[in-house]
Amino acid sequence: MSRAIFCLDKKPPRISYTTMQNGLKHRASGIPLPSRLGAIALIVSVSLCATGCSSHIAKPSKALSAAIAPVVDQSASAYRDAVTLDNLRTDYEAVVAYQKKDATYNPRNTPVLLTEKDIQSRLAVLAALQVYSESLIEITKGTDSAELDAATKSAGANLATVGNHLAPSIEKVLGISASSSTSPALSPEVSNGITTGLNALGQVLVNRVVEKQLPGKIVEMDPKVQALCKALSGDIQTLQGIEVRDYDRILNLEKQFIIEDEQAGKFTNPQEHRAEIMKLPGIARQQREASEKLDALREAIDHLAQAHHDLAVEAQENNPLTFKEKLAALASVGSNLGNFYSSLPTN
Amino acid sequence: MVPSPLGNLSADPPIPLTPELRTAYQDLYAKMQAELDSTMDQAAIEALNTWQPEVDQVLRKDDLYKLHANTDAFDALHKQIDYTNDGLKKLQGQISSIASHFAMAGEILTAIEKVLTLIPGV
Repeated sequence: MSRAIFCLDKKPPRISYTTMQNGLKHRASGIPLPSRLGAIALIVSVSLCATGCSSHIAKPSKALSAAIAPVVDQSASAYRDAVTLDNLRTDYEAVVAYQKKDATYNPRNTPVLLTEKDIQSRLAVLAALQVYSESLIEITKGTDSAELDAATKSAGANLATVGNHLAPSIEKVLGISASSSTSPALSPEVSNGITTGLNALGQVLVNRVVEKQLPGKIVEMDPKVQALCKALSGDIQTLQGIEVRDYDRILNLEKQFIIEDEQAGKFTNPQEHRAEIMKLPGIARQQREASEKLDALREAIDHLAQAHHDLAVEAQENNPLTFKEKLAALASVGSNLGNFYSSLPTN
Repeated sequence: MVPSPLGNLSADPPIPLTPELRTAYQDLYAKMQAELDSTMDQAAIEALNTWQPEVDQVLRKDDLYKLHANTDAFDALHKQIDYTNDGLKKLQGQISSIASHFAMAGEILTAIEKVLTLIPGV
């Protein structure tokens, strides 16, 4: 990449762009350096506008990120909720074991639905998926990089300073009459043009790297994301079944406890008894809400799978007009710029 | 002795369950739950509350098998996604290096400018 910009000692290769050919003719006919530099800036800027400054996958990358966020948030909560509910059921089972005088019951041996390690395995893979999505956004907005802006501004300003230093000497050596005015050889306008041109060139180079390498990585990632979504969806379906049965069991035992308390000879505080009965609709509501939350999460997972697949399809150059041609155009612009710089006279 | 309401279904079937077998246990569970929801008879509730957990235990074992299998799948996927993330980091590095090339060009030009100021008559 740097060779294309800075190898000024190469012989000029064949120039295929008509614009470039014309540019060379004009230079041969004595167009001054400032105008030529301004023209470079203009060519690069125009070329970039024609080819698109930012990657075409930036938008689906953002859609992917938006699809990941609810899955990550809701999954973490779904796993924790399922474990909390299952623990509550385990507490109810302790009462049953004591009522039955089950000597084998030991609270230390109570089962755990998902260990902390099981939950962490799931959250870690979701965190990795978030890193992936953030990297995509970071890369696809690479052409707006502040780092590149700063670097090209500095290079542009320094090029202008050197140009202003060098121009009078060149005029002297070549025997050209010195400039009558005291204005610098490179005016601030031209200097800004150089900076713009360098920045645009940087954007072309960044775009080339992105367009060449990123689609492959996204396409490669798609089966992994689909497998992840399938596993997540399977998890949620399993948890949904467990939660339904946990709530059933809690409601069934509550019913049994309430009816047992109503038997003659049992002391039951009427207010406490009513309060126990009044708990039942609340538990049923929680059961329904938990199930709805898991339904929503499964939808979010499906949406995530689709969002990534859309991104992969876009990256897979399904639309040759927006991808292949853009890539070819970018490569052509970069290559021609390299040729143009290489063709500049070395002395 | 009260006959098991599991009928010909085993209380300890091989896990994972086949889809057909799982459906059979789910159907039995659902029938028991429907009975529980529609009775206020203490004996029936106590009996169903004894037998339904047996069916639930089979389904639970199958569920835990799936969850643990998924844990392994998640661990494997985590490694694969990390590998892709490493590739993306390298790509970000390449992009940064483009900017750094421009920065280096700026530094070189500064150096040239300094040299020019030191050469008399230029």
